[in-house]
Amino acid sequence: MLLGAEAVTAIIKLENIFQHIGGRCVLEDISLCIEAGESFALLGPNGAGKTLLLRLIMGLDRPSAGRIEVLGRDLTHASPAEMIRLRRSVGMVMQGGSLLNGLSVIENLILPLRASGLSTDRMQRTARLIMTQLRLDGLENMRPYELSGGLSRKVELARALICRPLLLLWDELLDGLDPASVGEIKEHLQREKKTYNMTLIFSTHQTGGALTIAHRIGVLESGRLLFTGSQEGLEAAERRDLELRFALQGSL
Amino acid sequence: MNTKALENIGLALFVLRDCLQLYRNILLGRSRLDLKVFVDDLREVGLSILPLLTVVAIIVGLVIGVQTENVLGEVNVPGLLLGSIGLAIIKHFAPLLVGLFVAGRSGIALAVRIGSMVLNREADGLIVSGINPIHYTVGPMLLAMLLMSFALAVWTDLIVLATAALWLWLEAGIPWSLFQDSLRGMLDSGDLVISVVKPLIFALLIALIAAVNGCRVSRQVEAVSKAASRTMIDAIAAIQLTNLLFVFAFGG
Repeated sequence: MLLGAEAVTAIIKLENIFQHIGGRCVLEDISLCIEAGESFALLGPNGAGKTLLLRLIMGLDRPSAGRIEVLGRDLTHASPAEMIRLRRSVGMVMQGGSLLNGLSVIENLILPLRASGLSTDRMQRTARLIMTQLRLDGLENMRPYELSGGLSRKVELARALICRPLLLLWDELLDGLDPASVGEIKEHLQREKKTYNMTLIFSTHQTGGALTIAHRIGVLESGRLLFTGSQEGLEAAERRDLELRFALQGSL
Repeated sequence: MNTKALENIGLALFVLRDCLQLYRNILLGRSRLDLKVFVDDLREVGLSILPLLTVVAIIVGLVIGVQTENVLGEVNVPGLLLGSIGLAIIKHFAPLLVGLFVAGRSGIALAVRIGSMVLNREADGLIVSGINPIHYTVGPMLLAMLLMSFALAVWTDLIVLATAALWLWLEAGIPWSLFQDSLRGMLDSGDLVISVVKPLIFALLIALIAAVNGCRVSRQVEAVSKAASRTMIDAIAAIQLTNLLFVFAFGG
């Protein structure tokens, strides 16, 4: 953990974010503030802009306009070296997988630890520990392409958590996981959040299970943030707002 | 010069800056060179092309030997002729031959590796793990290409010269000592510097061209094969152009 959690209260601040791709506005005037330790769900149908928003927060893409602040650093003016340092405090599980096929599972897990200065032995022990916690034992020497979709997601999660990040971004939470794994992962995330005050931001297109771990929910539709608030607030707003209702129907 | 060419030059300079940054950090003890990756790269750049390069060098040596033997039958200035041929081999043939082999093997391999990583989102995986993809892919490969290009150029010089000299000794009775004396009389320290610097510059150009083409791969499978073929063509053009610049600037 490179940045002190206590020093940062607002983990993420998004101010008037716009994103244009191929002349089309895919994110429109998004403003959002997420506090430390919070679980925030981005809910919306396919193509709403959830993945794009998470990529902007991770600094994988730059917004067309607006300001993004992550862990107190302004991403729009951060140097590449600052971005790399910042990313060591942020973990991300990407939709569709991003494990390196040329490396074994354990080598993939060690990747984020390489800059830590730890010995190879210590890095391997840390990787094995998190593998045990996520019930991934025995997969150490397998290649990512030999794993099932669900196991790949779990390995990605292990890689994202290995540096004990202050912020975890998860694109399509619990997608492709069996019910037993969902239970284990929810439990593991709650433990991590409690121990390290980790903030979790996840996207989902389903209004069911994943939302139970969210303190707040943001509803995205066609690049616009239609609602932010609690689950109870969402239910009340849904009854009032026709557009929100359509967006949630698309997310079912 | 069009915008795309300028963008490519900018990207190449960006890649070069990142590589130099990595080497500086390694020298200062802030980063570690991944020895496993580096040894694999050395094997790929050097050992994998060594047998074929040696065969081609022997063929070139034989052709030069036969041609020289024919010319010596018409003009009786063996010293001048042997010296000129030796100079041409050391300053032009060997660096060009090595450059073409390195472009065909390592340049294409690097472009494909980077392109595939972009295509499969593995590059994103490195970024979210806090690793600079240029440090991970181009850094060790460029170092391997520089080292092996130098070694292969020296090896090619020796094989071509030895084969030509052996042929001329067996067929025309020209002693090795005459070859040696002629070379010594014609070669100065500047020529030797050029013969060493040229393969290094070729290797640098090949690596940068491969990196730029690899980074420019879009999310289409055929883009990787296009990047590979473009790398070969661009690298050959760059090698020939640089060689020509050397001829004009330094007479060789």
